[in-house]
Amino acid sequence: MEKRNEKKILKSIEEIDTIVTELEISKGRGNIILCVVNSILYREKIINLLRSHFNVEVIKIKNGNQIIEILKNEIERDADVLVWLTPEEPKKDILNALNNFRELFYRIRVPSLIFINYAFLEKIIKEAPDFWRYRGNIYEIEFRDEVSSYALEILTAPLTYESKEDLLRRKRIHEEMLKKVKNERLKFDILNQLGIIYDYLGNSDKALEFFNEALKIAEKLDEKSYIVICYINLGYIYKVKGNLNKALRYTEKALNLSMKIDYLDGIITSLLNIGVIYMEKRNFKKALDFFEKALKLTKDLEDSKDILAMLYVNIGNVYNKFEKVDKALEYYEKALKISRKIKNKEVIAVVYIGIGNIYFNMGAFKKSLYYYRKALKINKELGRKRGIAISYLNIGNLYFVKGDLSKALEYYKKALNIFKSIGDKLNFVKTLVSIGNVYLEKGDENKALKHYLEAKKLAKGKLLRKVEERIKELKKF
Amino acid sequence: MPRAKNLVEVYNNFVVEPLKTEEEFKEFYVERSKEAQIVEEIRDRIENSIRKEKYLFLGFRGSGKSTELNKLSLKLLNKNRFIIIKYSVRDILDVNDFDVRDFFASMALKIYETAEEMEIEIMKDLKRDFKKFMMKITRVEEREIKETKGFGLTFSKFLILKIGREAETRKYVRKELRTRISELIQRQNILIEEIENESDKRVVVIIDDLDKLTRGEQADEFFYKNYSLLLKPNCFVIYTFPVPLAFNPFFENVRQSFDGCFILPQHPIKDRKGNIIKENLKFYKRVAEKRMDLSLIDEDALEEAIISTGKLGEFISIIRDSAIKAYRNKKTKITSEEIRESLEKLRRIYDRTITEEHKKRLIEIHERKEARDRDISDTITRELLFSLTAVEYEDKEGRWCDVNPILLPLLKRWKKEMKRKF
Repeated sequence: MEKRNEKKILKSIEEIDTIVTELEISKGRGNIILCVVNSILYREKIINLLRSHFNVEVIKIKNGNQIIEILKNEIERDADVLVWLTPEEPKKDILNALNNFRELFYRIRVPSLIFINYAFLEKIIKEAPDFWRYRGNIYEIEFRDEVSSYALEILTAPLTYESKEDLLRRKRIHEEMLKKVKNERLKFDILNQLGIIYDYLGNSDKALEFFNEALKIAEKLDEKSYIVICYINLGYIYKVKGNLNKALRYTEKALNLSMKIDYLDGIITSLLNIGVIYMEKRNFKKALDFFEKALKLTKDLEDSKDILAMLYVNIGNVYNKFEKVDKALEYYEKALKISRKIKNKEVIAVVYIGIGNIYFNMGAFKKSLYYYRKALKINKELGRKRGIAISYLNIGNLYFVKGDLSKALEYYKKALNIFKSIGDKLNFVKTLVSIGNVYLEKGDENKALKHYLEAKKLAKGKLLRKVEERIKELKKF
Repeated sequence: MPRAKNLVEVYNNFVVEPLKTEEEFKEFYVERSKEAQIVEEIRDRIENSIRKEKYLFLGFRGSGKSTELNKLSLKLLNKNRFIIIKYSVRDILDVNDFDVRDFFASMALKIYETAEEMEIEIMKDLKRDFKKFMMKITRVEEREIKETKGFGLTFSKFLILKIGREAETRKYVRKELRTRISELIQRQNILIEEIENESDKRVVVIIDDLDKLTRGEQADEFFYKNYSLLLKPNCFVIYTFPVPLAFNPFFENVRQSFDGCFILPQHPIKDRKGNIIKENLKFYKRVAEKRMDLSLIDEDALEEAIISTGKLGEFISIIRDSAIKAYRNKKTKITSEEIRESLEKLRRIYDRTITEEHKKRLIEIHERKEARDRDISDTITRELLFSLTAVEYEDKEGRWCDVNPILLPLLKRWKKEMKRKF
């Protein structure tokens, strides 16, 4: 994408930023905000964005009487924002209703955001001039090409991307956006997404910085659901950094707060992430317990494909650890099916690693290598350093078991460099141990000990005990 | 809402809605220039007239008619001497499906409703007869009235609702009153007489938004074909009158039949020669001052907003838009930067939505300072006036027209573009 287009994106972001600000300060008051967007698809994207910040009620306008009925119906509304979708054709009765009952938009004490196309706008100016006079503001958000849709995609989670270049471009746009966007809520979104981007790029320290910045905003706004999101992200990043207890503490905080405010998305994600942390702690039974709890809640949700895929892949991983191959494959298949459907390459790569592991455990190394390589390819495409390193580590494991020690060492070293550069302590230690194992097999006990001792300095919990055992054994001889 | 002390309050204080309450008048109302104090003149007429006069009240969109009529009913007319019944036809009738018979039926009911609310003793027989007649023409039965009482709806409110909301009821009313409208007006007049006698006050009916009748032919039918009926009510009545109808040659006949025709002028920011009218500039500044602390906007920015818009509606929109922009940019006051950005946005929208034909005519209007359709079939000028892209003013020399001031910077470019095309 050209830089010129990036400028366009930032312009659209500024418009959206102002809309959110305007809706925010209109909360509890009537208002008419016109938003000219020709594309129905982008209208939906804007609505999705608004939904993450406001309680939105969407009304599809069919005729003028419907508008009058809704506006005259003096019921207490739960919504913070009424979004009106006008039909493509500006019909006379709708224009009349808007013109003659314009002041009712102010009496309902909920701001109205009305989506129109240019044809409709023209008719409003000409045939509903009183309504035009009464408007609070007007925005034009043009989406002439696929480039422009970026502006909205950027602001709506989850973050998906096609390639490393795409991810780097997003990083650039997000950093630019952070300077431009003034609305705290949108800033919160951008900070979180930057945290995720930096995590994907393997810079967990920088990711932690952004997540902490986002938490400050969430606390300032006193938005509980935002605080939950921050706790989840912080828990995740501490897991990446190998601080599993801190990770668990944050994620449990997220779970408790989500339950208190009845925030289903927060509950599900917290349950999933706690499960993952228990996986790392090698408490697979407890992990499965959390995954199953999350799965039970997720199945009732319509819009939860991403999380469902993640749950399936993790349940598959647990069964893999339990050596229940059929069950593991069953869940991987489910995860693969959904991920392909929603084009979530990250999850597909994780599934490939899982399937590779199954074949690895079965001794089917050729098939196993095939899947590890597939995962590696995707991770390289996406520029996900951690994914690349994990693929290398698994391939290394495979060569090690096959007895091809030099190849094993080659892959382990590749993995080690990446884990070091991205600050993934947990996997860094695991890889050091694996390299130690290679040298031990090669009979180079000094080099083996050197790697075990280095691992010992950083290892914690079960892993530390494992390393200490190795060192003890080595020293015996 | 008190005077804005920050930009969020500026945004919320700058709304186009007419002033309605005593409080709003106290906080926001800006006195018009002497020549524009029309409702004061109407008040004087009503207070001193022996006859129960009927007036037409005209004014362009956004000239402040509703606010002025609210001022008349709320502040000017003496409540000890007058019973003021002010309502908007938009609130009680369907302006898309409007008929003189619905109008009179609802007017009678509005008068009856006021008497009920004021607990004025009305002769039982008269009351019974009125109710019976209204029930007959709306085909409402006693049982329904009793049922709706349970929902807190009075007789008059229920019937007004039925006429306004139900096409079927309007059909009955129109059928029943086809040959009996005088019977209705007669009953209405007896009712007025009774109310005036019992209360020792005179009835003044003010009907707002009649100028908003959506279909031209409905307005024609109401004001031109049936105007004699509008003179029949035995009380003071002020009818708002649609400006486009005043361009019709028939207007003169109608106008003369009424006791007064009052035109609320706009406040042009420039005279027909393009010189700034200082008094009107002050008026707009006062509007801003009443709604916001002037430290929240640079003086230059305020002046630019006034001169570039020259109309209350647009001026308010620009201030609103600029307030949100400044707030978003964490500024403490509005500067020329925001005003210019908002003006540009609005101009861009107009530029995009105005057709070539309309652009041509706007150039003509600006050059000639008058707006006329070429013949009956030509509707361009009317459309421009209706949409307020062209605006009409009045000064000592008479009426004159110009384009909406916000469009002035576009005219030059349009002219150039047109030259290039030919």
